[in-house]
Amino acid sequence: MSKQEQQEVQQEGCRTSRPSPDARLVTGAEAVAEAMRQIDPDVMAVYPITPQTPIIEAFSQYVADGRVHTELLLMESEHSALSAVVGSALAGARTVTATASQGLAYMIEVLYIAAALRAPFVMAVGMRALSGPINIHADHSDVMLARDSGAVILIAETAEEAYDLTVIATRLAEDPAVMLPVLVGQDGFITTHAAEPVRLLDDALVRGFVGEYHVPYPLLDPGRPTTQGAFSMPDSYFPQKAQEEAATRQAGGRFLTLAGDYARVSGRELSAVETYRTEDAEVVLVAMGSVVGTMKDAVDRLRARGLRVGVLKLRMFRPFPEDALRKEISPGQLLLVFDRALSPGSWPPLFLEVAARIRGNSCRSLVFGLGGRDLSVEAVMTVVEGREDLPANAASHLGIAGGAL
Amino acid sequence: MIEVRWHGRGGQGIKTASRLLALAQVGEGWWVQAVPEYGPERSGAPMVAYNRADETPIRRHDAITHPTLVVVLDRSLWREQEVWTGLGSGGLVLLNAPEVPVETDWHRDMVMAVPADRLAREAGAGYANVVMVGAVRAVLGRGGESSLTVAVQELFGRRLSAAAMAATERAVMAGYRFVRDAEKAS
Repeated sequence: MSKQEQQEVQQEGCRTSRPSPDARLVTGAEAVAEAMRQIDPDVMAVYPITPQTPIIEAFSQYVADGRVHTELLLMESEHSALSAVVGSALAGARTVTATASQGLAYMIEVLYIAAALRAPFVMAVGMRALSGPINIHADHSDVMLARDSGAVILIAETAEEAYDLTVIATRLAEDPAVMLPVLVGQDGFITTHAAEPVRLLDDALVRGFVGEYHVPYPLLDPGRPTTQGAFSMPDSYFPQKAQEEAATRQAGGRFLTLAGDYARVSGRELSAVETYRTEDAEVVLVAMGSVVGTMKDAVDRLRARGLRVGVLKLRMFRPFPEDALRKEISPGQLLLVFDRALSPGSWPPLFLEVAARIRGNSCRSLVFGLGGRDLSVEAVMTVVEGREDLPANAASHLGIAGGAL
Repeated sequence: MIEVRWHGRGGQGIKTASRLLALAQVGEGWWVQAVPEYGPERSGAPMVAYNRADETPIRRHDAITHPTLVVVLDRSLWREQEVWTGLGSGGLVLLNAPEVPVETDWHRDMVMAVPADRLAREAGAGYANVVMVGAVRAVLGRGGESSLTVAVQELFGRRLSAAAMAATERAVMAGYRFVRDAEKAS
């Protein structure tokens, strides 16, 4: 960065000069474990997998120390873990789990069933590449497996957001209009294992916010017997799926309300779509996860060079916040959509979502960071400065031989 | 933005060192990141960890490729890896060694030897990583000894005996004072 750029970037800053005195240095995984300790669920059923492991490592310590009342079920596989979660949630217990990558892949069969059974629970995901080749590092291929499961998918940029979204997700999952699994994704290693200052809330405040869980139709109430998970013929399957789909859609509006409640107790706004310097932007970068912070730095430096550029971040991928997205995009803006996942033989998933909702905007697709590959501030700047050369008929693969840049 | 890269071998505690440094810095009002790097770890394998510290919130989460300061905990890595990669002019390498290796053809004036193994031994502590944390704090020059003591208490307080805690604190301070005294002397 040149001296002049540095000065302009600093002048832009209306940022706080010190971390809040109540900020604690924790990783994203520890922050989520801390949120779960404060939520104090009745049941956690899990199977360990990198990079989710530190979540259950920390939470197991809370169980061992008697700091939570949770029944911790260490299962023999993710398939069994999620099956236990579904049973527990339907019985009326507040339930959480955590996984990543192959573990989520192994849960997928049960996740579709969980959503159809309207089993509410929170699943922390340390988002990681899928095998093969085997790789333990960050990308979004694993959560994309859950895209059509019916579950709600929230994605955090920072450790603090992972904490906040975990607390909100508890209420969202259990909301009578929703009653669905809620995934809270954070980037593997980049967020799960890096320590940053996080403003943790008071235990009482979080407990007050999440309240008590009341299951409307408990599985284990002999006085009020219900049938759950029944066989469904063509006459009833489609109508049930339609109800389920409506619930997933309603989660968008309920998130808005609950995030508003959360803002009142925490002072922190968590909208489904967040923008950074997009008002007068000619170019808008669209992305999810930890890369958004890197993009904000790139935006400041590009603006110091006279480029009108901004970032649009999605915290919610399912339901897709299309109204919020449309509201924030102006006609004529060039959208550069960054995906951390592929859909071989088609366009990558986030690009498809965005492209389906815009009118009067040019859109370019960029795939980056698969298997933990780095995308630097400088590389983001290079993409924006070379935007005229990005192909319109194919996605560009950033940072690899044969990619556009 | 200050960026530090730690080189060590699996088991030598560079992840812990980077966390301890970040704790001391956050206690002084810095915005920080402590970032371990993961691969196929095993005891003795080369490892890397990082720190970022800045006076404004740190938003970027990309890799650290141009550190301000490089810390090398294991002397044998000096020949095995180009530990100075990405270090700009004005940068510094802190090397755990009795003295700067004579065979180096790299900028000798950018290397400072810290006899961390010896200082750790004299302090009664088993590990040189905490000595190097003290040394890094002294090189960065902001904040005093108290933030280091508080950070040691917070990170190890629940895990170590009182005697081990006292030895750890002595080891951290030995690193801090070694650099401070060396800077005074030059």
